[in-house]
Amino acid sequence: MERMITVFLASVLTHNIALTYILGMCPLIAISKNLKTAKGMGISVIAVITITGAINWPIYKFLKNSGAETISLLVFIITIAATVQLLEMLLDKFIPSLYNAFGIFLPLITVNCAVLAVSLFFVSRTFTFLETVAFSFGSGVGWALAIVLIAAIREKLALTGKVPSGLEGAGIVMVIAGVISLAFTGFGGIVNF
Amino acid sequence: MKEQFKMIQFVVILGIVAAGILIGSQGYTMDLITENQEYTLKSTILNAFEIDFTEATVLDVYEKSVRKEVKDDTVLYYSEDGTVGFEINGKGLWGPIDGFMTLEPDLVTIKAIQIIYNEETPGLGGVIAEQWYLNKFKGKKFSPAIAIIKSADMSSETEIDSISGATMTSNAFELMLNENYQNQKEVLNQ
Amino acid sequence: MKKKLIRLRYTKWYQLLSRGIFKDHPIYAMALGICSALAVTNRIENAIGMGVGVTLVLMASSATTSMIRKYIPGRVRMVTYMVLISTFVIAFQLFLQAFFFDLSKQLGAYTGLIITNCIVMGRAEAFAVKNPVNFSMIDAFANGIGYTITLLVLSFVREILAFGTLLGHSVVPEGWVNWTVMAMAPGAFFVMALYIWVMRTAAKLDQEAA
Repeated sequence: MERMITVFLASVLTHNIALTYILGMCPLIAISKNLKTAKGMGISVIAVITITGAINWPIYKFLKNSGAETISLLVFIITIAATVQLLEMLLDKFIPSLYNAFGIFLPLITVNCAVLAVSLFFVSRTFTFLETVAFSFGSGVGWALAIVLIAAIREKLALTGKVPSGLEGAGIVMVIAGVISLAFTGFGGIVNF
Repeated sequence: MKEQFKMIQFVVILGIVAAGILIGSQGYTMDLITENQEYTLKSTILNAFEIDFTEATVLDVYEKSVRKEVKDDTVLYYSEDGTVGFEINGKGLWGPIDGFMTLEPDLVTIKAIQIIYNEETPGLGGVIAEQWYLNKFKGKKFSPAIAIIKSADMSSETEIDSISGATMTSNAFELMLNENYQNQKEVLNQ
Repeated sequence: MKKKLIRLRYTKWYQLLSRGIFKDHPIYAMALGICSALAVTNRIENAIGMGVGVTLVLMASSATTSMIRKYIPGRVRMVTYMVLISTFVIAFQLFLQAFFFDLSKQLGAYTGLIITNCIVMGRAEAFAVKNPVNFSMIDAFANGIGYTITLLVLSFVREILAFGTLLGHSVVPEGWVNWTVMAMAPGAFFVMALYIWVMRTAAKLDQEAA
């Protein structure tokens, strides 16, 4: 249990998938315009990463035992696409209000590099199943944290400042992300895998 | 119905073609890849034993000079002069650290350390993989453990300088080396 | 001679090339493919490896998508792209490991992430599936080159500041103190921000957007 908490905290603070490993940037830039949609995206991502991480672990074990590791990449991306599709269908059926709120975000998660990266990382770090679950959940939370922070700052910035036109959109997100990631390096060493 | 059939037909053909390309690429590259991995491991081991070799002669020299033994589930490597080597691994700050360490026949003095893999910050923690830093470990003894500290005493048998600005990696590295040594000590002394 | 050059400007392939490399640049114009642009630009060597990889995968996947575009059933479009792209990425990974082993270790998991590099999927969906093979390949090549050039510029700045080297060769005077932050995430973000700012202003994109 303690190990899981350590892995979880490490993936949120010191090994943050967005701010330390710079993954999942495309949606981070596109969806951080306002806080509400950012929160929605964050929660969807947490759900998808956790589920796909947990599913891909036994799949990878199976592939490894059958000597078919080379295609693990292909299988991972299929699992992710399938999970997103399934999630969409479930939400549409059981919680349609949430489904409508998420709108276009759900399918976009398939190409969020962070999701695939989590699966690739647990392979190279040889985590156990429980560690992988904690790591996936933590990475999702870490990513959600990043997008929410950036969205909050962007909203505030839109009200109180004028962004130079060349920096609008992607540019200012990079600056904000840079400052936050610099702050996060202060967590370094507090907790580690 | 026809539409569905077309879709399935398409996906199946796509799958077969994709699989074909993959199997083809794998077949073509598999041997080369295993060769590369073997080459990297063996040249690292030879470096750790401080045995000279050239790119072309790695495999031959390794065959002649290094003997592999399996004791109690651990793999040990011996060279002709009694030097013993084994793989070492541990957790660094950013990811796993894999390496290889050789000990003099007295089983206490370090001959050489080579780092095979690490994810530390290049230029900071990554220095543990740089030859000039690894050279500092030569001749140090595990009596009973080595210490990687700031302003180490060069003449001391157990102290090595830590990397400035990379305290965490240095600590992790110290822990890893001592732990690996402790684990191997029993098997070595048999 | 001048007449010939002017005529050149209006040929389709020139337009495609210039759009991919300059105007509709995937990174600063459309904010695509930023993940890997940030993560692998700590060293020029890594940038080259990634740039080449993305360009090759882009060309292969755009070409094949374009070739079979008339047969892809509407519903399985996305899946088709993914299967094709993954196949080529895996093939690329294998070839990298076979012929450039050290580089493959340095790039690590990031080569696998070419699959989710939005540029590849984006070009397949936006262009390759609607255009003939020759144009698709030029478009793919253009985007790939534009992307690689950006990677080279970013890694040039980062490698000099973070390590004082270019492609591993030291180019700074004695007494240079490394800006280690450039080797890590914050440095990547800041350099990218500056780059986007400069390029968008240069390509006059900011005025168009307004």
